[in-house]
Amino acid sequence: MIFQRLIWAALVAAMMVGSVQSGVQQWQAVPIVHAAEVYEGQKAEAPDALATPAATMTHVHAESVASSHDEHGTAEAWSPADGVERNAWTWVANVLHAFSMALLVYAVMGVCLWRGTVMRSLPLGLLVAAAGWLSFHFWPSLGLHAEIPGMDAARLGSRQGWWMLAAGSAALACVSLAGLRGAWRWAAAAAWLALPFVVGAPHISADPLAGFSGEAQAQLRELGTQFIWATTWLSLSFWVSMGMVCGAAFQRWLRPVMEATIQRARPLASAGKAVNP
Amino acid sequence: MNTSASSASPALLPVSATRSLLLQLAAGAALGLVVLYGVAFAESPLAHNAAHDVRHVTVKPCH
Repeated sequence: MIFQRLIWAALVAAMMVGSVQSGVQQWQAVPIVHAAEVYEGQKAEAPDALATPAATMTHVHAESVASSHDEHGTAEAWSPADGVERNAWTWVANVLHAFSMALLVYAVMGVCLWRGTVMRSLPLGLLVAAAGWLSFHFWPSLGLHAEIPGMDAARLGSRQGWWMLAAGSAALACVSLAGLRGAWRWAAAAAWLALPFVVGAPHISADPLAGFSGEAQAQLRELGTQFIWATTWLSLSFWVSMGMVCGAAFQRWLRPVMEATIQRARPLASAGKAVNP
Repeated sequence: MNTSASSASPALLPVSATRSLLLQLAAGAALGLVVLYGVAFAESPLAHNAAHDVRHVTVKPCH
């Protein structure tokens, strides 16, 4: 059954890509998150009414107050202890994140195969991964930059909704480019890409770091800039490795079965059309 | 009669197999989106705390 193969191939890709990402993140980006959390404990209440519910949530962290890593003011909620436990859960989340993306990459690659692509699996995987990077990283990040802990921001739900709109629109732009014919497919793609920015990403009008003292603000701004670059490189490494691993796994476990199914159906389908025009 | 029946069924099977392929691809993609939602967006404090660093690093709205 192809679905089972999809799951296993996605698990293999997820273990490889998710594990490598966990390692690179520990070196590149997680130290920035932890450093920002140290300042987060020094944050004063937001100074004006522009602050949103998300902005005024108590945000307690292990390094600043307690021995646990609590979020959203839910002091009783379980959270992993700093160190090995927190890193282990980050690894689990990375593997699950990579699993979800691998399933989407395989699904798109399978549809490309069904539509008759003659591309080899590795370039096809890299092409789909490029579309994934545009849709799941670059386009949403243009409107909502990478956030370090402690920054005030618009309400969480509205930001999540806009993120989904941006990712979905960019994905539909890629579908328009790949699936439509003629010059106006470029216009369709441009319209999809423009949609989230016509709607507008949710932002607060106040300074996201207004609750901090001058020195902490300067440090957090510096950390924020570093974090944007770190997440950019990480996303590129994630999607390049995802494209390569998925290309190889697709070739090994999925393409032969899918092609056999499609090849069996194609001549009969065309024969059926000839008989019943 | 038997001959026509046996020649009709293989003609139908591969087409339904293609439909089944597309359905299975759609099911895989749907599962991917559900897992992505759980890791990156679920507001449950447990899911959030466990995946906190990954949400920040993968540039998902977190707090």
